[in-house]
Amino acid sequence: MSKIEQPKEKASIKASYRAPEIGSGLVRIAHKISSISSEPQVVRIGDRYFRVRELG
Amino acid sequence: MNIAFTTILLFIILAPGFTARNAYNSSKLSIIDRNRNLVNDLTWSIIPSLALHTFFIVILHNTTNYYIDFEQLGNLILGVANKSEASFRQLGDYKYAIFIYNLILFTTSFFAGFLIKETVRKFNLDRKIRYFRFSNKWHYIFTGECLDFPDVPDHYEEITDKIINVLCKVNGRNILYTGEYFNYYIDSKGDLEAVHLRNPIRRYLENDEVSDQKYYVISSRYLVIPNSDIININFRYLAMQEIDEADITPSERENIIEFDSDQDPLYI
Repeated sequence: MSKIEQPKEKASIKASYRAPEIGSGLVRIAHKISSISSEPQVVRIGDRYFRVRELG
Repeated sequence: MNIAFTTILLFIILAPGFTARNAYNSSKLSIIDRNRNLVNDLTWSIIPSLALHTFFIVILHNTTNYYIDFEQLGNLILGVANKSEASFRQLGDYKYAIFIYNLILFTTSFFAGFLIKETVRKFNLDRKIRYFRFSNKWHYIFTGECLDFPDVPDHYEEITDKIINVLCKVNGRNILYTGEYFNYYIDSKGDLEAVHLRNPIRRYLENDEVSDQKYYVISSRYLVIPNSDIININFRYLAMQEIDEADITPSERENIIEFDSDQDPLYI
């Protein structure tokens, strides 16, 4: 009898990933986020809200 | 004694510095040119080699009964004809001690180079001080570590998302690709080869007004754009924090930017 080892490291990396819908949504509205203002702006992607600020 | 032996001997003497430099430049932060000039590399290895040899000679002379016979070493390097026989005899007598000394020296040199690189990275010296900066400039731009350069506001650690706009010329038309940063590729000279985007969208630059229904959502999660098509690249480093709806202020609510996944999946 042998035991199948689960890839533990992969699982920890996966846990840090965000839902792909959020990243995809951010890309699609990125052009609406002002580069001029240093004030954070609120974006809604699906039913979740985020405060976004451009750095630099 | 011929020139070839002297060359080999010089190479062995410079090898610790060469090894340390290679270990220091072993990460993706450094450009590794496969067609590099070996003479140039060895020239740059002189000072690190001298430092490592001095360090090891001090340890050897103070902790063991062995010592470096510089007279014999000089005879071997200069190829003094009438003394070479005695020098080689002495080499034969101490071959194991010389081998072990060099083995420990080369191994230590490798780890010294590696540890110096790790120290520079750990204390962010390459971001703070230009002298310590590694040769791959694209790393600092694509990762956003350039935010930690002096006189640049904000910090690299604040970045949660990197959005990249890549302007390309395809079939005579200018196309703007937008996506999340995924990866980048450089060639052996450090020039950009390709940009790898996640969740890509695109639009023609002729439609340069900010308006809906102009971006086409590419039906793929990843897109690679070769540098030959790229005109320029725009980087946006964003700090994005999830909040509750109750935390939104009235003024923020007026200017809220919305994206519904239910809208047209091809155009936005």
